[in-house]
Amino acid sequence: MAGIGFAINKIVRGKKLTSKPRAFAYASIVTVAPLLFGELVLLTIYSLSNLAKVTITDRNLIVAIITYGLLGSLFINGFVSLVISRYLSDKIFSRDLSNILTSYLGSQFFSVFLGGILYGIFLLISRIGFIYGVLAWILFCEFLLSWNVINFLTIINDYLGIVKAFFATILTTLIMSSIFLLIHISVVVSLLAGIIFGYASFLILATNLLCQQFPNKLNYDQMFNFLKYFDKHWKLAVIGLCTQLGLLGHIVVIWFSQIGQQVRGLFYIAPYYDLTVFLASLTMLASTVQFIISIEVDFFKSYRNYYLSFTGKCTLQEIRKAERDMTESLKKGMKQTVWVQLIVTLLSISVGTSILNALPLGFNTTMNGYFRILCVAYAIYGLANIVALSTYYFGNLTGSYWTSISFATVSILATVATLYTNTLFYGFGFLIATMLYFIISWINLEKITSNLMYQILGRQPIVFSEKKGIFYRFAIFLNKKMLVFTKEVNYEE
Amino acid sequence: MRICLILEGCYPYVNGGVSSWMHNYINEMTEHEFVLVTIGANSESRGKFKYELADNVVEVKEIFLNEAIQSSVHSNWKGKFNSSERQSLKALLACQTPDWELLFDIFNKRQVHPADFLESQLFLELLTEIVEENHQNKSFADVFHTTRSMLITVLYLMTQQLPKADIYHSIATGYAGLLATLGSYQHNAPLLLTEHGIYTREREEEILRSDWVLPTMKRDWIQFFYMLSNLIYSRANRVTSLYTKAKYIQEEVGCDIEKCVVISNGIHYERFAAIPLKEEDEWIDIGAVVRIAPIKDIKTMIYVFYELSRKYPNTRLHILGGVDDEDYDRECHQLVRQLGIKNIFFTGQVDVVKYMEKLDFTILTSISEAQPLSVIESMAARRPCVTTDVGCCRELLEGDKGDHLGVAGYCVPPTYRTGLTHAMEKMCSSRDLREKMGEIAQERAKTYYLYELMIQQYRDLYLEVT
Repeated sequence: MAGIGFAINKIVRGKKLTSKPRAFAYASIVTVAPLLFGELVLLTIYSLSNLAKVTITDRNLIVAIITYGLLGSLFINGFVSLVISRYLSDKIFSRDLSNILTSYLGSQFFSVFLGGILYGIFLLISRIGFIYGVLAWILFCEFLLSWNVINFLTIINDYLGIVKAFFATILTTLIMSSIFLLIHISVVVSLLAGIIFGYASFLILATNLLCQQFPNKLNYDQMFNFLKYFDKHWKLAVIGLCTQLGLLGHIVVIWFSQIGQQVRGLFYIAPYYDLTVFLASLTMLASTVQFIISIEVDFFKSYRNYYLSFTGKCTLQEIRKAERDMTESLKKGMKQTVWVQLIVTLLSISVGTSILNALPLGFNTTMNGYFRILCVAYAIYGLANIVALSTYYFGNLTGSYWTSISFATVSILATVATLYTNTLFYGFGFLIATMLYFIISWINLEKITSNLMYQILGRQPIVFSEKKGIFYRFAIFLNKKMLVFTKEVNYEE
Repeated sequence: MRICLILEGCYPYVNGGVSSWMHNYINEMTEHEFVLVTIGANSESRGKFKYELADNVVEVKEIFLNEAIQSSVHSNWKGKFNSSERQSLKALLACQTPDWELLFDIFNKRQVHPADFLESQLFLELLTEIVEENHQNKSFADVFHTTRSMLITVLYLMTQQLPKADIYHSIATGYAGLLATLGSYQHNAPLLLTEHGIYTREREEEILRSDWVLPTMKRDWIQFFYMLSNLIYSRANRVTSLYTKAKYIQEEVGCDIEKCVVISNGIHYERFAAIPLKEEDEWIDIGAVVRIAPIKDIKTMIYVFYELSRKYPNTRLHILGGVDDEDYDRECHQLVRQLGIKNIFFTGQVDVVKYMEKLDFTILTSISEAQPLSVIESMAARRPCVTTDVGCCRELLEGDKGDHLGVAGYCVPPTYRTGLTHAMEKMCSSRDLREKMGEIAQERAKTYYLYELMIQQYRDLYLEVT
């Protein structure tokens, strides 16, 4: 969410009555909407099957393909997104927005290249079949491109444009799926192709928004500059990947449990668990949005003041006062977020279960149990995540690095351990991991905030040097190739 | 005897008074072996010597300060120090009086990497304590960055291993003094300091004039160099200076007067004494044996000559010396053109003995000097001098206590143009006056400033401290 604070600040700075609600709307749209849309599609498929429009086999196949695409793309995106966010943040901070569009295209190429190969290999050995394989691969790539475009959309504040793009996605999906069904193409292919067209329309519209916002010429020789950040910020890549592994790894483990089912080849699902996970994960979105508004806007002012106190002529006492103001703002923001999350979780567990039981999703007692466990787990994860994100502000990644590794390891291992217990306990592994994630992140934040001056000033290296590792060389190599390639194309023209 | 000479920013990388003195000194001491430890600013100068090293130079260890910030390999230090070590580190940060043995133990024996300490939590803690105690109204960031900049070089030097020698001999305090003290500590050998100028005061003047030091941090930088001077002053077996006034300045800075000795510079008297006086002609020729550098204040010299030549148009100024600072040299030539002066000659490096035949008297307008050899040489050649009152110029021209030979020239406060012009006018006004002063000058040079005498005193000093 590189530029979300940047864009929200623009909205809030308007100081109109509608500023705050608009800011909330913007944060919600940009942060949660793409995932929400993916999950809505899944829920629709589940509902359709329960309304007897789709056979269980077809439903499971569609669900498995979408779930695999979502999870796989989130793992890959986890690896790249924090580093790209960092790159964009630095560009925004230095007010150098001339190569945003160039970087956007470069990062899309890189993500699809990396993810496409890995997922392609998986599909080749998955025995899912050619047509389904091709559709699954395209869908996966589109998911991946969508997560990445979100990173860039956070810079612009044309939230109406983004809303339009999301609605266009839903509309295109519905229209294209209907057309395919009307011309008697199989249900699975029709729905998958519809979704593919839907996400394609989203990508086109989102890219168009970026092109309008940054109508700069493309600099092909700088297209892969963001890759250089992987040398210096490789820990961010590991943090991103491990956080996704911790967050989603337990789902994969449960596929191989008693409640898991083989759909086709290497495609598995655990419908009770998967559906519950998707629903429960929605409950943490409230705190995510609340966090973005309160932390990125209110906290950012005091944070900026504190940082500037080190570059200005502030005395030690003035720096300490700025530090107090900042930590108080951070605590205030967190307190609000905790309350919001608490209320949402309590409502979800109490009222939410009743609503879900009434919906045509096929909820049963086991799913109700999972839902309660997972609601608590996602609430804790949501809070842990905001604590972890807060520590990034102070630049000390080592703590977060180990925390994310611990989270991923415990989430997977504890879930594996629950496989040897009663199926009712599934989800407890993830709950334990989120609790651990929260505790370590909190300790980490306490440690950092108790010693902020050292984190921000004292530990700064005496001499800053650009780390030129393998990614630096790779970036240079690709930039050169792009330059040669584009020149040749121009020549031929 | 194997003598480790520690040299900072001079020999063998640059030409100049101290460098040529050092070169002659080493060549003269053929009975000793010399190990040179040189401190340069930039490693690009490595191996680029301006002098051919003498046969008795058996080893050269070059240390460059820019490498202090390039060294990236950190140590395995875990950040633990006992309370006396903490106290010493705090005193170092505050530029007070640290226990240097403890510091040598930390950074030399235990090889704690400077960056590890300067980027540590302990460093920030100690600095915060100091700021709370002494600098509450200063910008904390300024104190932080200045302290780091000051200490990085000192800590880097402390990590160095010095070659083994029988004596560690530094010709200045500052970084050279620190290294000499470290060598003496490492090899348990005597320590000798033979100062030419007063390094502390030179740095102080430089810092006060500079625009690269933040005004609020100037006092701290000066205090830092005082701390370094006190290190070698407190540990040296003997401390020498070139003139009596310098000895008292050393005492003022913190040196025990009991260990201070004066050894004046010496020249090859006969070479200069044999130069005949210039035949009387229509011109009065004035010489300035100086390198073209801001510290020599050539611009004041040009202004003064401009004033003089308006009253005495038959005067000529010969500036004898190479260019140290190209920009400054250009500015000087531009000034000469602007003022429309015809009779100034920039000769570059010349044979001073030969050129002296053409001169009636000499001038020196430096802002800072110790004991300028050019003045003594001029005196030995029976040429009186007009100098600024820097270093021991007054002592050279008017004599020290117990010297009743008389006045050998005029001494005027630095940058004081009117005073300098008047002094030169007086000098130009009478050949008799110049000859009389010249006789006194020669007599003083012959009595106090002989090369052989100086060398013998240094030889004795080596024997005394071992």
